[in-house]
Amino acid sequence: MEIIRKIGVMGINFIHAVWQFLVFFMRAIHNFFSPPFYPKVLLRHILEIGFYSLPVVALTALFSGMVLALQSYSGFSRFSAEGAVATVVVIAITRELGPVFAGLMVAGRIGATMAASIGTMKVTEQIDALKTLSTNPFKYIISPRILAGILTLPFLVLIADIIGIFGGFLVGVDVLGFNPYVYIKNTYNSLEMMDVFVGLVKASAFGAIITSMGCYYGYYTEGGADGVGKSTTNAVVISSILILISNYVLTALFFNK
Amino acid sequence: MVEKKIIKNEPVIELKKVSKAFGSKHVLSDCDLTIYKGESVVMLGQSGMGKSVSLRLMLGLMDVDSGSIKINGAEISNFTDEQFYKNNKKIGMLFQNGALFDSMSVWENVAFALLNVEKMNPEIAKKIAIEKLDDVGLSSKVADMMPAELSGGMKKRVGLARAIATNPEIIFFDEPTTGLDPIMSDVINDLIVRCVKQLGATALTITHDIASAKKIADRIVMLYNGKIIWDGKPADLSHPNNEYVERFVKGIAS
Repeated sequence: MEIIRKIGVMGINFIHAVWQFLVFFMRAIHNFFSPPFYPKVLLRHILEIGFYSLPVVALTALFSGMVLALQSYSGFSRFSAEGAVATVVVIAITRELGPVFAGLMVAGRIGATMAASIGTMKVTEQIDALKTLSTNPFKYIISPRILAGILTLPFLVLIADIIGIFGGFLVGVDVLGFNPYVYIKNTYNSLEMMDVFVGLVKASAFGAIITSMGCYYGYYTEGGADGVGKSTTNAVVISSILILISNYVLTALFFNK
Repeated sequence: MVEKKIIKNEPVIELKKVSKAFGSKHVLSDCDLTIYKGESVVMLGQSGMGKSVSLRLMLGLMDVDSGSIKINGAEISNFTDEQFYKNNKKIGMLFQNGALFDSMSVWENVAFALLNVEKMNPEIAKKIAIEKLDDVGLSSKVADMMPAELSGGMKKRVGLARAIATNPEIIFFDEPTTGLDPIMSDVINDLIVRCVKQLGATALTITHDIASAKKIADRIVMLYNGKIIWDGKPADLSHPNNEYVERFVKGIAS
């Protein structure tokens, strides 16, 4: 009986948390469209998410492309299909690895930063200070961050796609001995605009997930430093899980023929 | 400088039968308080007696369970978001630990409302911020420093400069001298008296510092068990005719 009660309490808490998050997210979206707007704040977050995440995303994409070329070559050589390496690299990078790895990297970097900084603002009364200074924290803190995530992730992923494919090319040509012209031709022939487009749609969704989770956990931080630590961990863990789940859902939606 | 004038028939802050509880803990129970225009009231009380909660309720940062809070005659629980933020333009607040924005320089903190609410030109806003810093005894050299580089006393002064930057009609002070040495406490008390007088503002300070209360207040109220149990002039604190207040002033546990 006690177990059933606990499961019931957990279920209710879960539904409450999901509802609270949905209200939070809708409020943030509503504030995208109602003045006052803070373009400088938005620009600062675009720079923070996009420009400063570029090195880590680029490195991840480069090595993902490189290892993918190596692994697919080793697998395909068992049935003499080595020529498909370029095709596999370009499809895997544009459809899956580019958006997912970039999303996970940004979740680690930006999701954690947002949860920690907003959480610290909450526990040190800076959010209350904003309210007393006639500034809506949703408009000033939350909405610009989420909008920046939605707008910036696709650009990051586009760059990750290019670098990832380039990584595959480097290994294909320098290590596996493919003809560079043939490799590029195969890559070009396998490149579908739909794959790139879906990757960018995923990136936008991941941007919304990462930033809204970072903001949500930061905004509802309670307690002191310990609370900030918990919020940071939750933001990264939950957004990483949601990235993987939503990646499957979006893939099923676009490619399930 | 505006001459200090208390207008007794013009209530600025009115609490009527305000109650607030957290779970089974009743912090405020049918609490009544009226603060008149131009008056500087200090709310005394032990830690955990609900002083900060009262302040947060008056600022609209928390909702009352029952009762009414009016600011300039308007019921704040009925405010829409827009009315809430509009009303706050008349209010200044000094937080206990300053609550300065870490990511901004001192002058950007002081000029925050000027830049982001009044959309003032940054050069003019910086000039006003430096004037306000001068008003609280800080030099212009501090303007470009970051909050992390300041001492506790300096943070309070910057917080005070930010609170008065838009010349508010009402100023709230949350434990303004907590964590400061006696000399710095006295400096902050003097600044509060001067700023409130200069602006002709109505002020509410919450504290448990008796010396501070005597210096700042036109009127002192004592919060105990969720109610105002004593209301008098600073001079009356020496003979309050209330056992609890007498013990509080003398610092006697029981």
